[in-house]
Amino acid sequence: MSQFRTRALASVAAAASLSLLLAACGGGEDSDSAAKPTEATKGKVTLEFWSWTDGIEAQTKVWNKEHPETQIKFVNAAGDTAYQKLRAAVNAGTAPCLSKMDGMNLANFAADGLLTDITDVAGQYKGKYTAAAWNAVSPGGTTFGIPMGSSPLFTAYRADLFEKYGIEAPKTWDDLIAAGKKAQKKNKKVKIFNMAGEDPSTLVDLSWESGAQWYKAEDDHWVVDFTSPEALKAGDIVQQLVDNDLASNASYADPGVFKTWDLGTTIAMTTSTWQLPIYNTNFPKSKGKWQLADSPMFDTAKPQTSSNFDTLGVLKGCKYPDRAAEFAAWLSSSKESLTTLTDPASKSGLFPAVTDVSPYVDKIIPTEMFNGESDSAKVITDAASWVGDQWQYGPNYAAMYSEMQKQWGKVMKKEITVKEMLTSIEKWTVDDLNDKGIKAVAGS
Amino acid sequence: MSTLTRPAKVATDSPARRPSPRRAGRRGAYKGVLFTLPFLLGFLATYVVPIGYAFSQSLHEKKSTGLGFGPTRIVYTGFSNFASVLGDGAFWASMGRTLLFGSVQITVMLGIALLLALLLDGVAARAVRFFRAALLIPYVIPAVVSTLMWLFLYSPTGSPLLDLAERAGTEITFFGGLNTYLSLGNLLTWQGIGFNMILISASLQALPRELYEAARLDGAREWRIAWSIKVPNITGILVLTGMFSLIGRLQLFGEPLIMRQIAPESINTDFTPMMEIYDKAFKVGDYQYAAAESLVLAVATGILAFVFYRVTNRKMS
Repeated sequence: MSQFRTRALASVAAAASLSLLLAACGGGEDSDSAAKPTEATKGKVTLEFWSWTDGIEAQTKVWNKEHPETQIKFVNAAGDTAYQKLRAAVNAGTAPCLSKMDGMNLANFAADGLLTDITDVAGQYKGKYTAAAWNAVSPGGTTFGIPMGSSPLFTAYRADLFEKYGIEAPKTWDDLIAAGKKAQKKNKKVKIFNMAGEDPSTLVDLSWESGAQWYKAEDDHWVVDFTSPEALKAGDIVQQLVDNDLASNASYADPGVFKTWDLGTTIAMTTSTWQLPIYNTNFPKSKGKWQLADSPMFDTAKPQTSSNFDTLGVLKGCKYPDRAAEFAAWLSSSKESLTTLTDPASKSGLFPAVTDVSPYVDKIIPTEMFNGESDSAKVITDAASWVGDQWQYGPNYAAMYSEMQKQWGKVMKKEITVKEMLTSIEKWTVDDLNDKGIKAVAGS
Repeated sequence: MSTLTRPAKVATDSPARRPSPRRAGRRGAYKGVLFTLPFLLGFLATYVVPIGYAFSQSLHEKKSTGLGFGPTRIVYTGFSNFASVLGDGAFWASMGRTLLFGSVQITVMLGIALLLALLLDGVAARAVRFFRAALLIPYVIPAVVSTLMWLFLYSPTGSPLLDLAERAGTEITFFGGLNTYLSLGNLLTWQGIGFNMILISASLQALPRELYEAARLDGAREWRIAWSIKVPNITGILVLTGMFSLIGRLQLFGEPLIMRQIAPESINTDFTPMMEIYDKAFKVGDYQYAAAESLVLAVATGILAFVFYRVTNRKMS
């Protein structure tokens, strides 16, 4: 009678939600102190900081030694439910002042009113970071955090197999399609790319690169545009990959996903800095056969890449936002901190979001992975400098992404086209925003 | 284990009428309430309060202002969430998918369980004990572990079964279209056969042996005894296991969620109602809508279980 066991499984989720409830009952003191801070706080303060990046705790100790006025209490919040715990803590009034979060979640938390507006106290740090990174912490033009790391997009490919199939590293996305077809003429089974059925991030990257703007803040409303010429150009590449069966569909959650590349059935991928440290363990058979190249572009004269950002968000109820921002800026931009964090020994996997990354690039490259034929450091530095700064996360990005995930699977199975998906997502997004009381119009 | 192998009393016919309870005095009633207090408190704390909380959540919606970043308001919107759920095509599609899949899978699972129980009923006692224990093993393995085990067997990138098939010169796939349901159904059936068989087997043991002797004297063969005497006398337990399994299927969550790791394009985030609710609450962050969906699912499950019980009971009697 398997319903008992199904229940046992479901109880995992139930336990998670119950813990939310319990947490919600736990605290409750002054959660309404979220006034917009403009002045510097005085005196000695202690603030809590959540992160789950290796090597960060050691850095907070360094900071604490040098800054007796602002003491950081580090909490390792590692776990699958970190964001849920954080949400519960904010609602209970027991949230930390500062927490690690990715750019998408920062926008999501901000939209749910769980962050503190630090536009005024954080402005002085803006110049340290790339424009795209600052965008990531300033959804809708309001700053809610400090950038921590970036992961600009570039390409890794199996140089040995490219040579075998007589193709070269693609400069444009059209080149990639052509190379994929050419390789398949030599070997029917080989795929040039991978698109996971659960993960529309390929489309996000392509759209970001093509200059599309899914969300654009204009005065008091959002212009939602999933069907602009740029967005459709990006969608068309995905469509061609699907139609011509040029991409494998290994799920990134599949334990065997890396075999796809290690055994050479898929021969290229777009990748980023955060993946570099895990190559050595995951590609035992193809070690030394890899080479890095720029991500394929839409316009080689005007190269543009995409990037996810790691950020440090200042949460609602934080009493010392100026100190939190000061510490965050030190952690993510000072030479002292970055030199340690970008050292592979720290295991942080961090790639900075600062304007000049050149001092930190060399150390993060796993040299035994690549054949030494291309300048890996240059590829990474260039990718970081080309991140398009037009991209914005809208206030319902998470809900939109979830909706897109559902349709993305259908696109991969050729049940609907990318264009149909984009058209329906555009309508869905506008309706959902209006439903939440936010003004939005469809773009084109 | 020993408690499981012992034949359990199963209500196949309505038992003799219980003597009407003595009229208890006020003091007695009071004492009775005291005895149930621990249960009542637990029931209140773990069922009534959370359900009440979910209900109050479901009557609200989160609204933003301006560009949507910044403070939000939770406003009372009455039954608007419920109206949305009732008109939510994806939610009802997941319900229909789960029901259709469940009705086929449960029939197969109970059919096999019944067959095995009947076979066991016919063999020697020592063999019975061995087979019962062996068939119960899948049930003893935690569902997450067994799902992961099947996940590795089904994995498009690492499955040894796919390797074998390729060496044999054929290409098979475990997901996509009907295959998705066959793969998932196989997993759930594998997990569920043992336990259901134990229950059916136990109620078979409780049947009076004299019936079989009488039938044999009348010249009935074993299969005839099984079909005409054993099966009609254990319909009670078949209905019960059927109903429990049906409720279990409507709450299907962990197995497809884990399987989604290797077949995301075939098992979508709204594959089952529970997965859809989980996605709304913890991925999208819309607790209010998820609460409304949960309550609708609970009510729909309750109605279905009631109808199922009524219909099957009427047919049997």
